[in-house]
Amino acid sequence: MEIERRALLKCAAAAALCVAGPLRARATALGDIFLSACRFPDGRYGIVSFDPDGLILRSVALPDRGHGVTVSRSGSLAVAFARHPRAFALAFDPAGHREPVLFNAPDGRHFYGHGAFAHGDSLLFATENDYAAARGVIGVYDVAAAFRRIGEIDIGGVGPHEILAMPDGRTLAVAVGGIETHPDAGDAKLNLATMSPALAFIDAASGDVTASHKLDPALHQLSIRHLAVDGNGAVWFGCQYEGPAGDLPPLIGRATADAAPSMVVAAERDWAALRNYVGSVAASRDGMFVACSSPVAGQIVVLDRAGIIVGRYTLADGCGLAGLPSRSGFIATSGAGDIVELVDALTPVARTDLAFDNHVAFARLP
Amino acid sequence: MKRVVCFALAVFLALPSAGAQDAAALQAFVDRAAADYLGPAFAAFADGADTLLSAATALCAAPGEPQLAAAREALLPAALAFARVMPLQIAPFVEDHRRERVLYWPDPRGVALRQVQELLAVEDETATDLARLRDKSVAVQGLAAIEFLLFGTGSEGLVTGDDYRCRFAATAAASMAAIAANLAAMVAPEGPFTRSLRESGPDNVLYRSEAEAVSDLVLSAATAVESAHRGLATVLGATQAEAMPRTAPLWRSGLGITFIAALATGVADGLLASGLREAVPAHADLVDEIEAALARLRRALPPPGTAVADAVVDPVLRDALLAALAILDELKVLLGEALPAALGVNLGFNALDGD
Repeated sequence: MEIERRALLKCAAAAALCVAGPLRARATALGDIFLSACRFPDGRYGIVSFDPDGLILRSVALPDRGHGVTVSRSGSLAVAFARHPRAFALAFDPAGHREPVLFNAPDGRHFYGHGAFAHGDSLLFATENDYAAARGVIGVYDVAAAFRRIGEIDIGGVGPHEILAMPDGRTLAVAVGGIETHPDAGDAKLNLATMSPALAFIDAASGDVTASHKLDPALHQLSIRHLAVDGNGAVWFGCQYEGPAGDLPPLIGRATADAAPSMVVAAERDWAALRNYVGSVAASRDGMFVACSSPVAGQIVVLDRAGIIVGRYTLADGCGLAGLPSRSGFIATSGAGDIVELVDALTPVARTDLAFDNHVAFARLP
Repeated sequence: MKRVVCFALAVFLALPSAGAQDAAALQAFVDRAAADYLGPAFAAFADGADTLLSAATALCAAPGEPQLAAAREALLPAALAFARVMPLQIAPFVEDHRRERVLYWPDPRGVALRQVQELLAVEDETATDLARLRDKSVAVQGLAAIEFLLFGTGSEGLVTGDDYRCRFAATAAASMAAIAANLAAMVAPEGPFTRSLRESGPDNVLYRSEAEAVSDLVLSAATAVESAHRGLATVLGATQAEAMPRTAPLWRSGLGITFIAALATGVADGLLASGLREAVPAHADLVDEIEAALARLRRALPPPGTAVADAVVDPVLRDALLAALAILDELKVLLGEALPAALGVNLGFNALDGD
């Protein structure tokens, strides 16, 4: 373990971007891996891959803090996005066979930390902020042309966050958080009184916004942030509430392009336990369950497709979630470096000296 | 075969970092923060806001140079009292957008100036009605609007009886005074927020433990220096040519740098006055470092009243501000990393992320 750690630190300390050599020979032989942005012990940032046993496999250095990672359907390509309000993204081969490619959002735009492949992995769609105009857009990048930006889609709202490709491969779902930010103002939220979140669906081929669901006006301060698709094709969304802390609005809902959002009904105590914050949403690989994490509360809940909470777990600063490859459960990570499994009970898998960032992506290597 | 590393009990993962203080020590710190910092600080803001309202009302009743000077003078204590509490990450500020209603800042796109000027141009009477002003943009309801009306282009008309401008300023001052009074009541010794803060527990919606209450207080101190750092860095720009002095808060009144200083130090000073040293008896060196950094920050900053536009281009003053920026960097680490660790509270890599 110490050898692995030294290798990791060595890579992290390198001034230039680098791909770490295989930390263990078995890394390339494994098909199922997880990817997460993280902070290394020396304060630098990057992406690490780890296997279902929690073994750290590889690392890729980033210029600054990353956020989400999206993986192509083929599993041969992944892109890590900067945490807002930064403008870099890094495309890399999860298996480490090719050099990574760093690219940037154009001037006047920054990424919001998420993207998704569509069109048979030929196009990458990324949530972006046109901050001078306070306008949320989806940037469109040509994968084959070294991620040249070839267009953008106006989503008709501000603060888009997570975007995911629906199983049909041509529809994109976008969490439009509704919160205006500006790079000069850091994390300050500039429009809390007037925010208007939505869940939008986009035809990736035409760029048309085919549906944009608003929540009940009473919930206009419920920022829709994170998404996952269950086995029925319903999009589950997790929210962050910007209204009074004493309010306990529902934080989780689901919708389809054709069906308006319906919020999960749960006891006040369950909402109170999440402290008005959901930091990540993931579906189990069999599509039967959805997990939502609150790093603010150190809580994770698992729901069945009927919206019934069937599991409650405590993980300090826990946020990253992804479905386990072989079972109907989840892997979860924390800012304290923990990797745990959620299958009936919470089972520790590994403790690392990394600070895992908000999200975990699953990749099945070709 | 699954590798379970170093530990077996899942519950261990729920514990905060090593070195957690005992609950009684944290509770004592929270109690003193409520009594010695939050209560007096919000009372001072309420007093300042009341004084400003009185001065603005007097100006409208009898326009003249002395009255305008008095109103302008009254802005400073109200604004600085607010700066000392502005970074607090507590529910009363979030509710009803009270923080933004008092001061919409940062305001990178100049929303407040544009909207106030639009109201002035058409003399929109709804801006002079307290109830209807509340329905307008938060950017026109508080200090930013009052400052422009008292100091900005056209403010000289207040001497000769610019009735609309004066009534708008007085209405915004009344709005701010009402918010300040409301906040002061909530954090008074028997106020509802004070009770929530001091009486944490499983049924408390805001705080389930004293550690959560301490986390919010420490997070506030870290947020304060982060916010001040970002504000000052934006003002300075990477070079003189890239300086943006008009992004400073309340720069027209000469308050910009003084406001940022109060913003940076207010919460930390408050926590020190609340027995921070006693809360971390094994970390006296850390408290010494925090106190020393705050003192160096005060010494580094140009004197109160220094115009921001001058400071960013004058070589000596610019160097002073750059030195202050470096000290704020130190304070970010001391208050955002070292202090939470000493208190045994976990601000959280992800929990702080806000994404």
